[in-house]
Amino acid sequence: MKKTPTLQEISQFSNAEIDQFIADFLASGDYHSAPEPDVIQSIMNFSRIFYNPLGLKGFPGYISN
Amino acid sequence: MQNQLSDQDLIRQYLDGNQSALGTIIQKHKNKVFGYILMMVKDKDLAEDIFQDTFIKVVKKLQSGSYKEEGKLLQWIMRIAHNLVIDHFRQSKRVTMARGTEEYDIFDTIDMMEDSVEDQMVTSQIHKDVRKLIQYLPEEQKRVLIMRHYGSMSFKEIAQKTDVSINTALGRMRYALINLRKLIEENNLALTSD
Repeated sequence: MKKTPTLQEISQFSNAEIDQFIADFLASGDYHSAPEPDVIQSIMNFSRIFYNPLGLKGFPGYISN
Repeated sequence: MQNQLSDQDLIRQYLDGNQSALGTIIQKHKNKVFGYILMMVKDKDLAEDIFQDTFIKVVKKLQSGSYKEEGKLLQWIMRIAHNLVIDHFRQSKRVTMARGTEEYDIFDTIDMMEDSVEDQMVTSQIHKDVRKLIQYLPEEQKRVLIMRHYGSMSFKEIAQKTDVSINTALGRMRYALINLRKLIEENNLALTSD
C-alpha cells in the first residue's frame, strides 16, 4: 500500500506532482467523507450576501480581484 | 434534474443568479474535495474550515470572472483546496516557530487577529455604522459576532449556546470579520469620527 506523504513532503511538490497527487486521489475512490451540512449552509449564505451580478462597485458583492 | 447538468451549465446558471446551482456544484463535488482535504490534514474540524475556505474562494473567483472554463472544474477546485491546505500548514508552522514552543494554541492566534481587526474597525465613534453593516452578515456569523463583541461571551459559551463545535464558532467569527472588513472596503466607508 502506498504511503500518504506528509504535509511537509506535499508542500515541496512541483505543480506537476500536485496534479498527479490529485489525480491519484481521485482515481483511488477514497473520498466518502462529507462535511457537516452547516458548513455548506455557511458557504451558501456567503454567496447570497456577496452576490453582485453586475459587479457594481459599492454593492456588497463587488469583488475587485 | 439540476444534478444532471454539466459543471459548465451549473456555473452559467449560478452566474446568471441561480444560487441553488452553487449548492448543486458543492453537493456534486463535496465528498471528493472534503475527502482530499481530510486525507491531508487528518482533522475533521480543520478539514471543514478549509473546505469552507475553498468554496468561498471558488465563489469569489467565479463572481470575479477569473475562472476559465476548460471542462476541469473539479481539478480547479481541488487545486484551490490543495493550496489552502499548504497555506495553512506553512502558516501554523510559522506561528509555532515564532512562539518558540512546541505548544500551539489556536486561541492565541485568534485573539491576536481579533485585536487587530477590532483596532482597525471598531472604535467608539463608529459603533453605529458597524451595527448597520452587521445586518448584512449571514445569520450564523451575525449571531457569533454579536455574542462575542456585544455579549462578551467566550467561544466555548458561544459554541454551547449555538449548538456547534468551538471550531465552527471560531470559523464563523473569522468569516464575520472578513466579511465586515470587505463590506467596509468595498463600500468605501470611512468609519471615523471626522
